[in-house]
Amino acid sequence: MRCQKVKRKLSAFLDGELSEKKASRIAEHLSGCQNCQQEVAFLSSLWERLEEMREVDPSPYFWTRLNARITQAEERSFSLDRVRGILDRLLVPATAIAALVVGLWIGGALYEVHWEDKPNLWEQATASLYLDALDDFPAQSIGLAYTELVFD
Amino acid sequence: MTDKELMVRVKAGDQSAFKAIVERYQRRVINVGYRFLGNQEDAEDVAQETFLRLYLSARSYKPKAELFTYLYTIVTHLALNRLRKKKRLRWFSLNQLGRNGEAGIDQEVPADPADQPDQSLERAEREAIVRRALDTLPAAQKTTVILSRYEGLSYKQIAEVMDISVSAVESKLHRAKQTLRKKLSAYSEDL
Ligand SMILES: [Zn+2]
Repeated sequence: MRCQKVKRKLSAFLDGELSEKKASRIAEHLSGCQNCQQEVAFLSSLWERLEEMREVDPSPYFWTRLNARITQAEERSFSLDRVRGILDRLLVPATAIAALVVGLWIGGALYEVHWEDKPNLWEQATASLYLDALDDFPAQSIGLAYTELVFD
Repeated sequence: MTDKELMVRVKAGDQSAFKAIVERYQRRVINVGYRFLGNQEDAEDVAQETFLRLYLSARSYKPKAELFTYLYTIVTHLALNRLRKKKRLRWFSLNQLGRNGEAGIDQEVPADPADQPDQSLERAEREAIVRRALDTLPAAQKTTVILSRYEGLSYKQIAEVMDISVSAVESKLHRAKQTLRKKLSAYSEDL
């Protein structure tokens, strides 16, 4: 195996993500290549270095605050249910009611989590990350905004 | 009790089951937020939003995927969105300052080491250096590092959270590590 190819795989090798067969080929190469051994040392110390970012402890009020938010959200949904009840009696077609209720429900939220057909949240997140961000900038500064986003 | 058993109870309206889920995952979810956002207040806020969304969608819960995959997906999404908003604000404030004023309002200035008596100055500085290096990575690469290095997820799990292929995870991590190494080499003899 060439060093170039080995180096591309070293990260996965160190993370224990390679098949046994591939891993043993890498190990074999490493045993006879100082250059790649050095790369392993670099990667390991990089990973150690990242350890320096500490972990935070949840604040003691986390649950209390969350619980308050849940109650608030439930009260909102309760009043929406009442709106739906009134609309039902007015014989508005069910689909229109559903659309309205869902629209109100989601409100300012960016998206809803669907268990059944999980949308590609990641694509959504990253797409809106770039497109929305660019939308917000005046036309003449698109380039500037882009630089800010990408290279900042 | 397993996550799935708990979620079935949550679905039936059992608040204590939901509390148990929050207690099980709050630390993880908050810390993912913290890696992205750099301060605890924002981190806890996106973590609460994450659990709130979980709670509100519990009714349609179908135990297909692992619960933590959903939690990581939601918190990552929310944290990235918040970062995006902060960047807009920052761009705005820089513009107001004629682009050569002080740092933007949301610039993640590391906490003043003097405010952290139990943490040595050197330690706080080293942490800030790591954070700045991480912040230079594109969103997707940064996510792979956070989920791999700090959350200990396998490539397959990261792929599920991000909805990309395992090989895409591998290449993003590889590139992230090369970049981090360059950024950090100035501060470290062995990089
Ligand atoms: Zn080699």
